[in-house]
Amino acid sequence: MVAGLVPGFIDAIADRDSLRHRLSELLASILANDIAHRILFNDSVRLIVATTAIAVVTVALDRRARR
Amino acid sequence: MYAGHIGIALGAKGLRRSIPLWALVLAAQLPDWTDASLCLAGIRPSIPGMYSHSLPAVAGLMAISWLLYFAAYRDRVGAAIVSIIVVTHMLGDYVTGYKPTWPGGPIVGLGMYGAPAVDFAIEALVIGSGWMMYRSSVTNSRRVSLPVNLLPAALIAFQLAAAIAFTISPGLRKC
Repeated sequence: MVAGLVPGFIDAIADRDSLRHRLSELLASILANDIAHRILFNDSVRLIVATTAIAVVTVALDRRARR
Repeated sequence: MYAGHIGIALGAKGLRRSIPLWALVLAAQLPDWTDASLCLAGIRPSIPGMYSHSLPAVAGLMAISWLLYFAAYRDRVGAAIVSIIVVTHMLGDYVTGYKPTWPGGPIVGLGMYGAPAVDFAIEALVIGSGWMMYRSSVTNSRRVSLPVNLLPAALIAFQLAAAIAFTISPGLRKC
């Protein structure tokens, strides 16, 4: 469904209302997708994102400390 | 425990500087990342954490991390330290939360998440201790450098954010 929206997006670029409509359709299709929903509305994802971010910051600071 | 796990990884870096910090951080976070990955895959045990934080699960993760590190670096001691860091995750979580022991076994822990200020103090102590050990892994001239001093600050700021999140939403579920 998402792939089918792409040609419509190209047409809609010239028309702001149509673009808004297409964007809302795209968002609805993403939210209707089970995997995407699981990723967007899941505390586990937030945990992964937060702990990955602090892990990356830690490793980056360590690298700078050794330069 | 959240940032405290990375504080323990920093401490291990101080013990053996040849181990890349990313490997120690990965080991320190492995049970949480395993838990979250299983959750995303739709694999949800009836008791949260049973496949990632229980004794048999951590033993499995410990063995995997030992094998992977040894295969990559041919360093038995380093592999042992990396696998022990996986175990420290479970021990830390027993202090701060409640975790399963084994299938059919008790769920144990001190549940410090219920007292965010105490949890924060414990994690800050672990981060501070780990950082003190970590400093021995860098040269004398770099021990007072900005990146070295930013490390505990970043970890404590992250933990403070987590403490605020727990205060606002005590029932935050991981999966």
